Amino acid sequence: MKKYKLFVLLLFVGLSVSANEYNASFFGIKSDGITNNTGSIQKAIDYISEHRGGTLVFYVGRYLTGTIHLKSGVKIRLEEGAILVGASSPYDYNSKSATKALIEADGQSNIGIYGKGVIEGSGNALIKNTNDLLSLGYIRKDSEPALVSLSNCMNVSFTGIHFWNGPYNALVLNGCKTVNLEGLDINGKNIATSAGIVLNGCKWVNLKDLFVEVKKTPLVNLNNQFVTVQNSITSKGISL
Amino acid sequence: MINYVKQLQILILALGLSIPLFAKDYPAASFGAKNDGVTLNTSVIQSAIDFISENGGGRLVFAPGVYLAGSLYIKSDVTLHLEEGAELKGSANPFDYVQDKHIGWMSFIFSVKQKNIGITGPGVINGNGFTVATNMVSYIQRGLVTDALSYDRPDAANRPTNIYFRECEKVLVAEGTQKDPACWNFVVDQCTDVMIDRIKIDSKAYWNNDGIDIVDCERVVIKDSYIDASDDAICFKSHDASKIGQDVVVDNCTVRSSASGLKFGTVNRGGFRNFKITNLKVIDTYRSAITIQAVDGGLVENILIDGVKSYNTWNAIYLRMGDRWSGDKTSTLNNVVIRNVYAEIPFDKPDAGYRYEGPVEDLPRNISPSSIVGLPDWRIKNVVLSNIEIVYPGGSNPHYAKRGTSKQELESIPEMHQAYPEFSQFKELPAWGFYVRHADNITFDNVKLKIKGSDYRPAIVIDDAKDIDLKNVSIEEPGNKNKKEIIMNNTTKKGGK
Repeated sequence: MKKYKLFVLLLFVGLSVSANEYNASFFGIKSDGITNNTGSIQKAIDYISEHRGGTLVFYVGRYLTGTIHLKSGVKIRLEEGAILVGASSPYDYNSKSATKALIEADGQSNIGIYGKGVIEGSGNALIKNTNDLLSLGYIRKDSEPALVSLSNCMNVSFTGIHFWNGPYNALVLNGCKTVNLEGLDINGKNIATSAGIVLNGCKWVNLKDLFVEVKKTPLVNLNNQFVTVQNSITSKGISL
Repeated sequence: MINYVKQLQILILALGLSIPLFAKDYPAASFGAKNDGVTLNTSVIQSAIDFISENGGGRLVFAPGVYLAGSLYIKSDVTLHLEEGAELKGSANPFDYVQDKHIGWMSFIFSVKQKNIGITGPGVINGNGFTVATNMVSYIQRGLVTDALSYDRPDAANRPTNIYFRECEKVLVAEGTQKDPACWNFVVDQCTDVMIDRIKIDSKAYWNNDGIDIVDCERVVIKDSYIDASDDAICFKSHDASKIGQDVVVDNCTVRSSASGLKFGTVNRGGFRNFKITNLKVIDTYRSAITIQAVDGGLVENILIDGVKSYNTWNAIYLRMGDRWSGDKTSTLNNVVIRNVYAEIPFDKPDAGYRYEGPVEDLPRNISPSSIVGLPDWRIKNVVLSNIEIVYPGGSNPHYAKRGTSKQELESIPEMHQAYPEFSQFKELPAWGFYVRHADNITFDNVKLKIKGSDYRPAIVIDDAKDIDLKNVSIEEPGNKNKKEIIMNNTTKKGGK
């Protein structure tokens, strides 16, 4: 019994350590809306992941960024009024992954974004800039980035967040297991090409209290197992 | 000597002709680069460079404005062209810079293993280095970056240089200003066929800010340029013991430094061969106008320095052999001609008031002479000094620092085999004008040494030297009647005299 208590205590200590919180400013991340924070946000995620995990906290402000990669054990909390703003040049989404996105992860576990803040896709500006580069022949035709794209991840949770103005899909999940999407507001009503959630080859997915207002398909559900959808509707009040 | 000088003259012409005429200009704005000074353009500019490189080459042209960016890699057949009023400015955030895995250094602008690259145009490259370096200190203190913070500043590898080119062929850097790096300014490392023409460098934003470092390169021309640096201004280094930097020309440059103006070393593992320096002006420089150092096992040979004007610089000429990092190798310093030099040495610190001025040293010493100092076994050989005039300030005080000229006093001067080489390293030396030790076949031809006040020391001391030739050496010292101005110990003159 004593040993068991000690074990519980150790477990608790372990958990509290892994729940370390870090302010974004600790990593030099700026909330002014014009400083591109890609380097600092990525450094923050890498650092937290390498130091037993924890939460990176963004307080009120606009945090401009290009593509960032989530790593195991790192959660991002967006406080009310905190906005992760996607950069408006397609060159800022220079990932080599199959499904490019503002926020990407591949093969990571225990990741997620929660809070009352916003992920802003800057969709119209991004689409315009992309078309300009296409017309000059500088880039090839490609799909616009998603807001979030996760592949082969486990224990994924997105709760409470507003997904705004994605140029294309809001969330794309491929081959992920144990996924909780809850209380999300996905809004692309001003973007002609906006779409909602794509689930492909996932297992144990919970969708709850979602509101999806997009111009294209609100939910693609392919080859998944054990997907539950509760109280989730489109802007027309239709269940997902 | 004459042969290689001719070859070097041809080199200038050849490099001038080999500058490629690029077919196409691409406005940076067309890729979406913003000149507002706040948008981080790293990805946009890099993508533009990649596109141009993959599509036949050309110039990426920056119209006036400030373009903020982190680390960039120039690729083959691409020239960054900065128009008048255009500034490529380094991000303030150290996390926007790459520490290149191949090189081990951080830089704002890299090029690694590329051909036909360039940076041209009258615009500015601004490393924003003071801010980057101080932000880096703050990251280190938070534990985000590992660094010993030796000397309470980030290690060189944790501070971006402005430009680092490595293993590139056909490099052109012309016109324009490079300023405020966080580390060395412009490093050209193991490159071939390099033309640096009409550039201006202002490199005083942080410690270790060298101006130009030419490391283990072949066929390099630096001409018509102005360099102001808190560390060495024009610096030749050899980092690789298997390489030799060779066939290098420097012509018509003006330099200012809180270290040395033109320096061979300190790191010299492989060596330097066939260098020609002409029409060099050195001003307000803390250490030596010209210093040639062989202390790490490298060779130095066939060096011609012709035409130096040095004002307000604390030392004119310092040649040194040592045994710092030599390992199994033996340094050599051989065949050096220094001619047509005029130098004025001040009494007071020459770089006082410059940003990051040179570190004050533990004294005492009176004003130091020019020196040629080898080691007992590793001797500096075949040096010609001709048409040299050096004017000293006087004002030495034997009660403050004194080194006499008796045999015993001369031979008790420490050898300092492993010490970092600087003209001031021996503290007080026994001559006010020129000091030579452990050197063979040294010729003074038409050398004039002047001093403005009388000095307790003789003008020239030569100790442990063979085949010394003093032709037309004149000494001007007020009130020096009956003073012996040239003292030799254990020295033979040329021709056995």
